Amino acid sequence: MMSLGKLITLKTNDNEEFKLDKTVAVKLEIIKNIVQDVDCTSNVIPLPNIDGKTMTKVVKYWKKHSEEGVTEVQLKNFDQDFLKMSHSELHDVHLAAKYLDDNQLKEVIIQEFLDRIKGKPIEEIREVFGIVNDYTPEEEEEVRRENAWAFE
Amino acid sequence: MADWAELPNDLISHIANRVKVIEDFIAFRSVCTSWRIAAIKDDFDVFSPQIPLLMLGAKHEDDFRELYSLSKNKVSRLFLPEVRNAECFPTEGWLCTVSNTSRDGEMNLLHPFSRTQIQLPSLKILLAFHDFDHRPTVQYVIKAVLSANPSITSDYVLMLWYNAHDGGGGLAFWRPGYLNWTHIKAPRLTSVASMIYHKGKYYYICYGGRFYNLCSNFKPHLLVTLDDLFYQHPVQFYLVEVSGALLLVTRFYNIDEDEGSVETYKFEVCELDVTKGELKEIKNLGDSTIFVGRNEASCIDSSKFTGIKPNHIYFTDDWEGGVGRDMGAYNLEDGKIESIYPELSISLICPPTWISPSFIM
Repeated sequence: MMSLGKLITLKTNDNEEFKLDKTVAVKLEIIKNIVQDVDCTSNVIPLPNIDGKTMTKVVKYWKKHSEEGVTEVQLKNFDQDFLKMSHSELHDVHLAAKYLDDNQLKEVIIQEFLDRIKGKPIEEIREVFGIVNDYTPEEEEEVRRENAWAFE
Repeated sequence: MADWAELPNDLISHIANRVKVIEDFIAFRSVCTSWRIAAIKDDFDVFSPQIPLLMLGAKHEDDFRELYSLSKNKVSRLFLPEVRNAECFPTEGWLCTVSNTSRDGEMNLLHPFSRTQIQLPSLKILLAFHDFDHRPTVQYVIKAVLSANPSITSDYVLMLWYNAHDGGGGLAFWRPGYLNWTHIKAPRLTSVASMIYHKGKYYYICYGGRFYNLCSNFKPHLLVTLDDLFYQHPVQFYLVEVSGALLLVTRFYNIDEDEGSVETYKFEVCELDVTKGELKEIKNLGDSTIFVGRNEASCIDSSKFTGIKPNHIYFTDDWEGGVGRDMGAYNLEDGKIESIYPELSISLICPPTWISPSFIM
């Protein structure tokens, strides 16, 4: 196991490097675990599954959420802003959070997905997410019949 | 852009797991086949309370019932021939039905959204205990309260409060598998105003103010007599569970002597301290919204839904002989009453009532 220096470097699959201050890093259980898992002598941790664009977002989130004296309201506003991204970006951040085992971030992303479909009719969900309806007319009829009260 | 139908199944099921509104869950499952596979019904939180739908008044000779969604402001039609010519008691998302036309007074539990039925012993069997033969068109059953949703468990009880004859009445219950109603030896009561299953026990309150619970052997136990409140009238009472506490909702009416009709003008809410037998008035329900109507009262956290006002009591017409006019939403904050349905739904057969949407597993 390597020792935590002042800075930790995270290196993405497109060779972007992110230097995290130790004070930020030690608050992140995830980084500590990675550090313990990775047997290396340098302070560089490779992240083969994450690209720089996505990692920029993740690091931004981490930094804000480990800021000294940050208030609930500030975090709420930050999250709101942070989540203003496309579905595919959101998906990438979710994958990164999953890889980094950051349950809090994962939860935030899932909640955002949920908010994007809440109260919407089926056709609108399909449109928003660009999903092609792959039911056969018979299957669709079956689905509708099953829950007729919720459709009309 | 990613192909969203190909969202990883675990992400889809993570999202589906957090959907708390049943209509959203149904929509989610209907988007495409892969979402349907990822969002299985078993994953839906069946204990998450749903906004009750307003089941509009029964129309003459109609095999359909109309459901009005408060969140969507939309009416949908439900094919439900089973409730034609039957008394309906909504409880736990099911309807206890008592046929007005069958010779023996056939009784069933009916899940209105799937039309699943569970047969109950008949009214004839219920009244045979009193050496009394039933007459169709007379209303015998007054309350029918389930202890749990039969869609979720087979370990439940259906408790009835009924009128036999000569103003006398009684309590009787049924469990799955029983061929007969089991009668409960209870002190001669004035009529039961409201009954609820709360934290493992049945509680009921009578119009005279006596508040009982049923012990584990179903023996009635008088908890307290709430005199003062019950001298006011005309009133109606509802027991309802809100955030784990047992509340007593009192509904006050003005009577129009000429018309013979009633109009609700006020509600009061008290918390019932079951152990001390004390009432404590509650002025504010916070985000909670209470629904009262025929046979049961329920509560939801309005912040989880759209279109439902917090700190309100939504009420339907359950006055004896009422046809559906007395309906609205009462604001506990300023005492104002708003309309909840843009039209008038009047029925001599079965006035509007609440029904909670649920899945059958």
